[in-house]
Amino acid sequence: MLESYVPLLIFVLIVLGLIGALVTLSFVLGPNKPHKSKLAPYESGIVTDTPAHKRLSVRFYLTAMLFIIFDVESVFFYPWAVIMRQLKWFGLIEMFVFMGILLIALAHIWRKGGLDWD
Amino acid sequence: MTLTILWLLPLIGGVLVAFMPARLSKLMSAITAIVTLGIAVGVALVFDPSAHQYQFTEVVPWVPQLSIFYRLGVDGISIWLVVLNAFLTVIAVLATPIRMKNANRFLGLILAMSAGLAGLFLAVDLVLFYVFWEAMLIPAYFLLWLFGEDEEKPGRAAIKFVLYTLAGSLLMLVGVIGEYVSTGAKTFDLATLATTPPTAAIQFGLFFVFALAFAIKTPLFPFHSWLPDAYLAAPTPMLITFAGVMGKAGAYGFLRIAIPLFPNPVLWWDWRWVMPVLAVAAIIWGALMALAQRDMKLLVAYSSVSHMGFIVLGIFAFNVQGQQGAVLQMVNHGIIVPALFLLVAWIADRTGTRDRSALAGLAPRMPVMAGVSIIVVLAALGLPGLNSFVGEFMTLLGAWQRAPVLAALGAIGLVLAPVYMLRFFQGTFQGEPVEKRPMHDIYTGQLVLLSPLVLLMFVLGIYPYLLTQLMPALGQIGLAR
Amino acid sequence: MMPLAATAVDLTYSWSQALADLSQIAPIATLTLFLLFAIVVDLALPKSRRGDAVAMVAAVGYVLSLATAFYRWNYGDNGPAYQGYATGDKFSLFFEMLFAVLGILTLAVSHSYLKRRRFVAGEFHVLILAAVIGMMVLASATSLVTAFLGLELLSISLYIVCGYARGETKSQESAAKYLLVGGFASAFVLYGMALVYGGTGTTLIPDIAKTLQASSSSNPLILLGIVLMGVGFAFKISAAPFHMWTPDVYQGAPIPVTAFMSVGTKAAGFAMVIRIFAGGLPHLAPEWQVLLAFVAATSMIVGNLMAIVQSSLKRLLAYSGVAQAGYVLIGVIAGGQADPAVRAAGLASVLFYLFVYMFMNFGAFAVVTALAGPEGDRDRLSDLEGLYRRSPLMAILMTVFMLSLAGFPPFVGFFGKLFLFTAGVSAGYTWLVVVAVVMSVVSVYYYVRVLIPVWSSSVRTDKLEWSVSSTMAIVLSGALSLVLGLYPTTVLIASTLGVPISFFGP
Repeated sequence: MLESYVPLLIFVLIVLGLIGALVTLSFVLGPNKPHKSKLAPYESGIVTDTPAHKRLSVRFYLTAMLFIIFDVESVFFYPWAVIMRQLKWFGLIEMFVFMGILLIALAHIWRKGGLDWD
Repeated sequence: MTLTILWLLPLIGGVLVAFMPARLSKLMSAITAIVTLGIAVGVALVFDPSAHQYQFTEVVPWVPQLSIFYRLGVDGISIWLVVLNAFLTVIAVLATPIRMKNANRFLGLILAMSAGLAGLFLAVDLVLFYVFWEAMLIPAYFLLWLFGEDEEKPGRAAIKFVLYTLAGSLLMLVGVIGEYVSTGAKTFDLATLATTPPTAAIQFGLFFVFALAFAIKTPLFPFHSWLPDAYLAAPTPMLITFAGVMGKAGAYGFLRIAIPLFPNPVLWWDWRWVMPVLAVAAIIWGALMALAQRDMKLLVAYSSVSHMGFIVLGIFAFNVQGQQGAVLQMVNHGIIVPALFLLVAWIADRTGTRDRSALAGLAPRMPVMAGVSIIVVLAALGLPGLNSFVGEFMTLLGAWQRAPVLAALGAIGLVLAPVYMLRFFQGTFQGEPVEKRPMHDIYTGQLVLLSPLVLLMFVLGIYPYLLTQLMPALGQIGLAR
Repeated sequence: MMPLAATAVDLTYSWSQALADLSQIAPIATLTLFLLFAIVVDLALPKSRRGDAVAMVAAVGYVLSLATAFYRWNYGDNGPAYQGYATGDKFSLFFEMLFAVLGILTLAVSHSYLKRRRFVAGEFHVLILAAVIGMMVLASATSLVTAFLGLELLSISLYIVCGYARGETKSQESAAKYLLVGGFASAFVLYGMALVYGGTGTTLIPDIAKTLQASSSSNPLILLGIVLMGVGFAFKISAAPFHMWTPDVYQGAPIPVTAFMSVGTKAAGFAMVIRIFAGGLPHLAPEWQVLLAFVAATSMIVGNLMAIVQSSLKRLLAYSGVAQAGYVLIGVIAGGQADPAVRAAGLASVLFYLFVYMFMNFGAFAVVTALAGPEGDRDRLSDLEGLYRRSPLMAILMTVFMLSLAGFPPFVGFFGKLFLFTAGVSAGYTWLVVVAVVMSVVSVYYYVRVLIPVWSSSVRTDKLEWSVSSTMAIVLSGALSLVLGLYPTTVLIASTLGVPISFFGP
């Protein structure tokens, strides 16, 4: 059992060795002339003038999260749609049940004010 | 059903009494205790000394999956302890003053503890024995803690007592389980287990865990350090059953479980020799410590360690004299120690101190008290004609047959007992009085309370056959191997 | 390596099959229906009547779910459902009943608590309902995927209720900590599951057992998977050395939540451990037994020693819970033995202990719940002062709970421990039992320490308010802690039935 992992181990060793060699070589051989603008984290030549961390409204997170939840759940529709015919009536009704549950959730969010921006 | 009543009645009585007004609670608990005593004496009278097995047995399946049974029975050993327990409970209840704070709770707990002890002596199923062994700790703990006389740190003595005892008894739980698993008999029945001992090496280990629990409870040297604290903190009415009966639970455990179940506990060494050596150490150490005490309550407490040593020595003599003497001595000590504690408490009540060196010359002022005290003291130091003599003599005789050197060393305790006991008596009652304040002699009620104890000292001293006649059973249940 | 077989899946799913599958998970389905109904009620009714109405719906749901599970236990045709992804066997029914009872107890205790602290009641009950459903799913899962689904449903609901006291920093800290650690643990479990799937080619637990039986050699992938799942489970059942979160989370969360968590997540975690380790990986038992034995020993030592120095009752009970997890693990370890009798005894002792642990531990928390005031929980040991004057009944019940937790006969905790320890010794883990016993002595010290303020004379004589529902829940817990100790047979039989031999695969 363990033998089958030997190629993997060799592969990992080669990868690590190669990366190590490349980094070391470029560090040793490459020209090293530091400059203030070169050392700046944003390297496209444009001098940064505002902090990178921008504050967003907390309401954005709520909306984003709600979007993701419903988005993920709607992904479930795609595989269902592919085999909808094979699942026959049962599959259709089942999907309505699923949608019903989603609707209750949506109504809940709505009623509790999760969709209000203010 | 009779035996079930013996422990269930005080328990139910205890629960009910705890919620009654003080005066009624004392009456009711006295009635409960006396009825229980009546039943216990009845059982002892009906008990058939010629039948060498458990009598009045009751067997009800409890947890059949693990073959745990509710199994009760009495034999020639336990019957005396059951009667002693019931008897001392009556004394303890009567000795409780009504004006005591929360007297109803106190009485309820006393009855509950007595119920646990009765169950312990009646149980002939290992798990049931363990259940009672642990369960009686609960009332004992609450008694020591809520009613303890340790003013500075209430509960310290109680927690020390409980942790000490539990350290032993929880390891005993491992032993109980180990016995169940290793014998292969798949039963907790003591009679069956005695016929199927495990291998010597396993016996060695199991004997250790059981003996540790019993040694702590007895207490045997060097596991006795909870005792002075607990006895010092315990209120006197509690001490009557606490010192009088619960101390015997450990010795009873040796006799009932450790010896019959593990007849050959030998691996690295032979436990059958270790125990009597510890017993002798307890005899001498307890006596020496008693000599050094000025507090009379502590003196009695340490004398108790010494006397318990005799009992264990007799048990591990492995012959009929020794073990009969041990059982006899359990009863004797159970009669003497409560009397001593009561006297100490009454003297302290009148004089305001328990320090024997601060007292002197009480005899002229309370002659009756002095008279009663000298009888009790003489009984405690083993004067022939009084009860303790016979028991101590028989244990030493048994020990002599096993190993003369043990008996010879044990006899040192017999020599020291008069020294500390008489110093206690002389210090308090004789000599020049330190103050002339007149003091009330013993009250009639107190005398009535003490008289059955004193009477028994004479009866058992003159006619010990009363007890030993039931004990031939002892030799036949696989004890004296 | 196992090739991933591309089996053709039959997509026809008849109505009768659907009904049969649904009836296998009937207790869960019932509760889910009531969860949805509770949400609708919470939406439709005016604000003032929401709390009581949702509580009523939840109560009916729990009772019906309990009744369904009880009915199916006695008369149901119990077996696998949903092509082996879930099951309605007695093991799952046992836990479903346990969780339904727990739900009822939590509801009874939290109802008055929420009112007193002026929390929004509706959503609280809905979230607890969801958590209970998660636990039930976990217990009836026979696939790694379903198990993870239940685990997440349970955890996510609890993350929210932990932070239910939004105004309190402690509660927020509790929620955040629980979220981070819980997510961490879930990741571990998921990674372990992925590795086991990789090693066996299936997520169905019985199939995993079959595959492992067929291949005699031990695959390092699976071993690593076991270790990772073990770590994740240890987080969930709060076993040392993965217990760090427990005291903080327990302390910060509102008390009914703590009470619910301390019993529920533990029981659910153990259901999962048994199902996956004892049910799915019996052939690798020596490997995970060593792992669990280490965890058990550490839990007992760390939990008991740390509990001594606590002055907050919640923290004390949290550490005691860590220690108790250690005791229960002894039974799980015995459940890995090859001897069917020992194995069944071990697992039955676990089920028994979890069932009775619910009453004693929940009861202890429930008493503290009643002490809480509008401004916050009062869980210092000193808050219990003079309880016996303020409410003698509660003082007696608290004593019962503490003595039962400490394992004193005749309370039920003693028998729980007796069964666990007997299984442990039978399985040859005597050293572990000795550790457990020594640590039990330590535990008595702190359990009794709780009783000192309860019975101490104190100047406090202010009467406490006891709502009817929470008093009933506490009295019920206390009565069962005693009665089950005097007569443990019925529950023990149920526990034994909960782990039939067929449970262990082929």
